[in-house]
Amino acid sequence: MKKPSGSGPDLAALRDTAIFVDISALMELSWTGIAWVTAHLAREIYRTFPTRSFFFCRDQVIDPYFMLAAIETSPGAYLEVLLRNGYGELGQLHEFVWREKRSIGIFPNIKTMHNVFDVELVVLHDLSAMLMPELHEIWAADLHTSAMARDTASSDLVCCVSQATREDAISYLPFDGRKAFVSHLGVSPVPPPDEPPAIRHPYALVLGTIEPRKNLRLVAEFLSSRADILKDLPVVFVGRRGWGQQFNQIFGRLLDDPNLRDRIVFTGYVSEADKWALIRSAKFAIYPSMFEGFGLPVVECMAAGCPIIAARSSSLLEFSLPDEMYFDPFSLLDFSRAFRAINTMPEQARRALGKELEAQAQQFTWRAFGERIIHALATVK
Amino acid sequence: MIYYSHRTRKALAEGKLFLPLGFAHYSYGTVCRKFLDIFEQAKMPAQELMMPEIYPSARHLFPPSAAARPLHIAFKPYEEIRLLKGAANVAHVAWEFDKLPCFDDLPHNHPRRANVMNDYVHVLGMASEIWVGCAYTKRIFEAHGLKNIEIVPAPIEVAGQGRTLSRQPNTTFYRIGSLRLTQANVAFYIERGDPSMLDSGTLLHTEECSLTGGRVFLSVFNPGDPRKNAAALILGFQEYIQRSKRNDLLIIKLVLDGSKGSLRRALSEHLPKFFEEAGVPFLFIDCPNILLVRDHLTTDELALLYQAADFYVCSSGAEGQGLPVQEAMAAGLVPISTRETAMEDYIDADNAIIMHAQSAPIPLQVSNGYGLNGLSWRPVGHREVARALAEASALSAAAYEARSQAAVDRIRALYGFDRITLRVKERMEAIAS
Repeated sequence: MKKPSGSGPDLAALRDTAIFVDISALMELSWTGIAWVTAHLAREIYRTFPTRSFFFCRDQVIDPYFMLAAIETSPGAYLEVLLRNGYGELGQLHEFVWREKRSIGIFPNIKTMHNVFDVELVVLHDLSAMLMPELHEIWAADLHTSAMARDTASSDLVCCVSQATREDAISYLPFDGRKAFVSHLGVSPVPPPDEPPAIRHPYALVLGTIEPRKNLRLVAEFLSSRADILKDLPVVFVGRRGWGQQFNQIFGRLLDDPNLRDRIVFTGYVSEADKWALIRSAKFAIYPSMFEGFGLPVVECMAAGCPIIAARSSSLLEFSLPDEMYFDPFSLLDFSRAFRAINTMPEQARRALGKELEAQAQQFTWRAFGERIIHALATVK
Repeated sequence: MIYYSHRTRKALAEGKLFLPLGFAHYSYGTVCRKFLDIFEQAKMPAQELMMPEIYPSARHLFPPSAAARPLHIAFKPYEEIRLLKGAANVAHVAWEFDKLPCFDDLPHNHPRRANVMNDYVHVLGMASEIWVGCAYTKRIFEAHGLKNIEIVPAPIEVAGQGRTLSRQPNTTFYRIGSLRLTQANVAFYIERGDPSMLDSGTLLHTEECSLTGGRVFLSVFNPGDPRKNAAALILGFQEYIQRSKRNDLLIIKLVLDGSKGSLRRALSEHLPKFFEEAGVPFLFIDCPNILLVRDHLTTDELALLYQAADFYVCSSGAEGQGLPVQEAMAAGLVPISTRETAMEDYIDADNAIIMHAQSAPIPLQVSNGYGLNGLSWRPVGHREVARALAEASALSAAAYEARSQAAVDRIRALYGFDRITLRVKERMEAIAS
């Protein structure tokens, strides 16, 4: 795992440069991974270059104070409503770019334009849309797949959020791999508990949007074959409703059983505060996803000292969980083993593991994520 | 341990364990099965990876790979080839046209450019080694600048020896029911010993038709596949029958995916379209000597079909290996085929009746699929098919026997299990070193 640089980036090379960050992702109504990455990156860039950073949506430069307010307000339609009503717009993007001696464009997600800035950097999250299109909605698979090759080719720097994503990019995309570097995402400081958790009994927690890639079917299959587990341990699923088979379809058989239906809880999308409360109170967490670009929920659990078992796939190996905490996402047998290992772990050992994971998660900070990007930008002539 | 991947995304999504016959890209599944037989016979353990791309390295497989650099073979269509990181990745692919789809030949704004996996040269460039079924494919790939191409064809089981034209006169074939589609007089027949064996639940009646001294020509193909050149075969046979006035049979074993309506689609949509492209209305087809076998056949039943036939007709205009014709040759049937694409490796005047083909642009529905113009194939025309059938039926018993034996010998020498097992081991050693 790459450690954040202690000394911070050399900012002198960027003295005469204006930095533009595309914050279109903040317009999402319910923020999950990419919107949060955009928010944290924009904040880091603003903190580092308060007078030379600009933030844009589509072709409009946005007042940074509105952008910061949108981040503070967080998920919701705040920015969308402001912009629709003509607030917060400072002017046309191209006018801002053309008056600068040198410009850098940062795209935390799909590039909305190409070859507009002197230097362009795109954040590449994962190649799943191209590699496993059947696990995405058709429009999303097409959109992301077509963007990948174009975005990586037209950028001077490609920031991959994990080593696994970088290796995939180099293996599958036709671009100069030397442009690709790794900057792991960060995790926000875990807020202190301000109220008792919503669910008081120990439970297993499963985080993630309800969609085929998240592989909830494996958990359903396991619980169907070992329904007795649910008597002692409820399972709580937290995540936005996505696409494909939804919760009630995946867990239909168990939900039909009057003795079990109260032991499987689906919360839907929850606020940040509720999410942290649920993580903090869980006995352990499960992350069965088949494929991830980074795996933010895993680091969030680690940061909150919540032991977790995760699929032995893609970037998730980069979190260096103990070996026995990983399982093959296609093997019910291997999943059962990992589940048993964590569920039967003595309380003391589980707490010790939680502490260990918490310490490990310290290396994943948004500041380090931003610094590595700024450092990379400073090296481009 | 040899790792392999073969199930397409569609097959995985539908929970299929293997690609059934007639299913999209089923030939990759067929080739994979043949290689699995080799691995089993050679006691080389093999494990399927449903999605090799999810593992950061072979070390992370369940159970973990013991080898430092294991072998992963992808028997998959180009767009679906995925790598096992840290392994030697072999792409086992087929190609039968004169150029590979690649972005160099596509207009800048062509929609296929949206996905880099549509650039087959790029996809093949990712593999450590490319295994192909014939010398023709190797040449085409090399012309695109690809390297590490090895000819490692799928093995063919060769059980028998050459055969004679000794079929009993008056062999009885049973016509099963009948179907009239677009006025074409096509019927289902199958050669079996006892008509009561037939599943007559959905069929109306059976009737006998005797074949006195006639020849039986066999062909096996997916009627929805335009590369198989079905129109030339059917038209050619009809012309041959009308001119020769012989009581010969053409049995076409249709490879259908078994889905509801697949036969209807084949007979009322695909075949009429191919005839239209050949300039002949499908309505003209009226030949009771053409027998269509619709049902899925077991290996034993297929062997019966081979036993009933004398010649195998391959009218295909492009093959990456040509498994059906090779299997027929292995059973002692004398092939009637072109010497084009893959067939140049194993068809010659000693073991076959050769049809002469001409270069032509590939059918539109194929070229559109690849977004390419200017691709060509080597189809045979129906007149040439008729001529070759006449030449075949005039073969003396001795000439037939000699060609039949030569056909068996050629397949055994080039594609027999022993030969291909050696070839696989040789490549594995080379890759490991």
